[in-house]
Amino acid sequence: MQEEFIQQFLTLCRKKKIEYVRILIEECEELKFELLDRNANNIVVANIIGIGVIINHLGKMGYAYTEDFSNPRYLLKKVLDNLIISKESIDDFDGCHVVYSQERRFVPLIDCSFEKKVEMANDLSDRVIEYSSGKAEVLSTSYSSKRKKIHFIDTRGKDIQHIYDTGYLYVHISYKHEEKKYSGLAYITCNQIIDIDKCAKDAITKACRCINAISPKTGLYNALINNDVMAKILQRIVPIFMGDKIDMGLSLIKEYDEKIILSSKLSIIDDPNILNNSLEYDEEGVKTRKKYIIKNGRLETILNNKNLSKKYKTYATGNGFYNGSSVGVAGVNIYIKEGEKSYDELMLYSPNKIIIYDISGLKSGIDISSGKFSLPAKGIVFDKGEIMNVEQFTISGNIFDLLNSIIAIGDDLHWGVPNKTNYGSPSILFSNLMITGTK
Amino acid sequence: MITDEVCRSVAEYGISHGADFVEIFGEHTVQHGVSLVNNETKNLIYTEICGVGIRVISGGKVSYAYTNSISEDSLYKMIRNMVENVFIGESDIKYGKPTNELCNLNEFCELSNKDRLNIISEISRPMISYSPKIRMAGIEYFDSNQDIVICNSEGVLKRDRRYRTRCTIKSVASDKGETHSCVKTIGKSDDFNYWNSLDLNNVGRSVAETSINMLGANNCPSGVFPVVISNGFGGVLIHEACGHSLESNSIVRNCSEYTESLGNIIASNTVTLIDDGTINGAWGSMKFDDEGYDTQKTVLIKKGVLNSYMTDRIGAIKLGHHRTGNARRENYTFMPTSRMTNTYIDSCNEDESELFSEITEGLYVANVGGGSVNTLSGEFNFSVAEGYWIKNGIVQYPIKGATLIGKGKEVLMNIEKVGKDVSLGQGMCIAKSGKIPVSVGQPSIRIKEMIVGGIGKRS
Repeated sequence: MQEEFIQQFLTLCRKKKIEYVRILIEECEELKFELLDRNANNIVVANIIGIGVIINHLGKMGYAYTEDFSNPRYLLKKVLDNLIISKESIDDFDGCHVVYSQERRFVPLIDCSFEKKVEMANDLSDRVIEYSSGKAEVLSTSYSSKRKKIHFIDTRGKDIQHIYDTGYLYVHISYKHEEKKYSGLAYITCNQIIDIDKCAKDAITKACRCINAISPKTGLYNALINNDVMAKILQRIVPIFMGDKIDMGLSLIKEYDEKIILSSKLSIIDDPNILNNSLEYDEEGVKTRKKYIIKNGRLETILNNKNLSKKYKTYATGNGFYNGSSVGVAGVNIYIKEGEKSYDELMLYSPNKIIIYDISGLKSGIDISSGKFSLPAKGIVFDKGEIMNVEQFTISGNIFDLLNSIIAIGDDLHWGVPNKTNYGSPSILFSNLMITGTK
Repeated sequence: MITDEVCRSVAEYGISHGADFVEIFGEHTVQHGVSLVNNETKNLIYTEICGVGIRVISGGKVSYAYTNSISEDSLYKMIRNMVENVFIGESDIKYGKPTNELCNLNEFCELSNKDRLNIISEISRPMISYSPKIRMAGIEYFDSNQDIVICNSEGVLKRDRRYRTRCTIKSVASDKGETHSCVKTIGKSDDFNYWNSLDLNNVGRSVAETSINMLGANNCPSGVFPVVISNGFGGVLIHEACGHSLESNSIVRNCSEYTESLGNIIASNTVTLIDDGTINGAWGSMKFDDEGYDTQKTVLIKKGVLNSYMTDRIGAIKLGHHRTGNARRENYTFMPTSRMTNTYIDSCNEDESELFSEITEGLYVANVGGGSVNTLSGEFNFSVAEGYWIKNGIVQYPIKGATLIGKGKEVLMNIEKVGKDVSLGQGMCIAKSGKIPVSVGQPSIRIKEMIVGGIGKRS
């Protein structure tokens, strides 16, 4: 049905003498379930298709999206209504002829049978009970995966297809200790090797770390931030280095060519050729490539799209991706480059320290326009030979100050929950991180 | 949009093939968005969401499928697959008696992109001109017209048109290497006429003013202090501290610290907490919830005593609790679950000035940012977007970089004074059934002590 709708829409555009049309066909398959009495329950199955249209007409760009394929005339009316009253227009895809279909890779967590998925979920629940010697109760075990196929065609015969996978198997437990309950959760993502044992143990470890936790003393600490936590922080701070945020005055970087110097140990990379979502072209048809955003502490690349590259007279970095309404800026696989130290070696650096293994409030707790952050956290304090579980405290400061205070970087690169952009980081040891507790 | 006849026959097909309960949720939603940065139009968005979600319950097992291929054939294929794959067994769920109601659709005032741009330009202009220190003035406008149909195998058939409109206003101010941003959101379950009732110039100016005022702010000291939280969006505290934990979805899963706590004292006797989905035009209001059950005013906590949970169909049945009309979902791609609507602390008798008296040193939170909660442990956090330091009962100077963290149970018992200036703020809540509009609200309140995070030193 959508093929007929697209052809009708293109015919209408031709009649209106619209100079350029790009069609985005977005197909999404979803599967979710939770375990109940060892069977899958709350099963969600879906397959939906949406169509986005982008036009260039009289030097302006218009965009609209629909899931209703009954009235192409109305869609054209709305996209013409939406022609931006500004200088912005959209460029043709690059190159004389771009036809690109992403290679489909086998993703074990997603590309296995439904029965296998239910079996893995049951296995995960069983091992939590086994490894906790019955002290843990499984609150929920759930599976979720989404496969999004994005297909662009345009009126000049260009054709680009991308596939994005996101999926995880997740367990949330409650661990009982002296009449108190402590929660822990852990997950396996579709970017990781499926290790049910490790996931079950992680959930228990996370719950047990909260036992008898107290609020730490306020002060400056050497802080070892675990890799999964650092990956989450990286996700929130990368927009500082994105051209659209800088252009709008929303980034800590005020000028497009501002010279930023951070710790020489730090390198941040966007590599489109790793993990499951290897991409040869971005969604503007620009060839992607591995690039350093920060190299040995120096700002090397601001991620941009074609419009921004023209505005600031630089080259397009292959980071033009649709953000739901226009071409924004996004990375593909962004990560902090691993160091050479093992986690155990990082632990040995400093006898007195805090390990940060959980943070929350990331959405509101980091302001990329000022660089200020203040985040509730959980951790373990090592103080003069004493080890304490700690909670009810915040870590705070300025992002650039934090990235200037790196003592050492671990070799344990970890990727967070997969999405259109993936974020990864090793564990990092920082000096003088402000910890605010109740004492 | 799916017709009544198709809805009914799909539901009947499911029941005749062994399902205990079938529910159809059809939706056709039109959304418009406009964003303006420093008076330059950045985006004009038009989105049309159209599809159907079908939920089948059989033998206590739930399955949900959704599609935007909404032909009769396609929906029959979907329900056939669902009833074939669900486990058919004895159900322990007892459903209520059939009801049948068809709501009238409201007429709404449609607006053009020019109207939309006029609204946001009126907010933006005074921001830019307020001070050369304003580095960025950004407005994101959004309106949504959601037509829904809900039909189930118990005879419910309801249609509604939900109109919502909202603006997020952001100002970034910079001076001498220091930067501060301020965000305010306003919105209503109403049409374009809402904007005519506001002083838009003043809305923009106040956001710019706050970002400028905060430029000279001192870093917030850390420690445990008394905290006064202003009315309106300050209610996000109660939303995070206990609202999520009172949703039946958390209770049923044993993921709440308030499981089996009805009738228990869970807050100080100054606290009466209400969830009310019926407030005319409020951001989280609806005629009926996303299962077709009429919304209502529910007293959750009455003078400190836990009085009710917020329930959806399954939650109510599993808990043996009455239904409260709190089943909600972002759109047809989500199964409904229990969520808040307009949740607020009811007013008491204290004058605002009384809240500050006797505070030697403490924090006044004039505007809060977002937050999050662990419903099992009750741990919550939220950031302070606009804060002032209180000394000797008087608000003294602005502070920045503050975070409030705590545990729901503790903070509820520590609410020692509640004012009478109750108002609602508008937010978007993200949870299991998607991103939904909710109001959070309260009068100004005083909390005896809270952990305040910050990097400043006490004077």
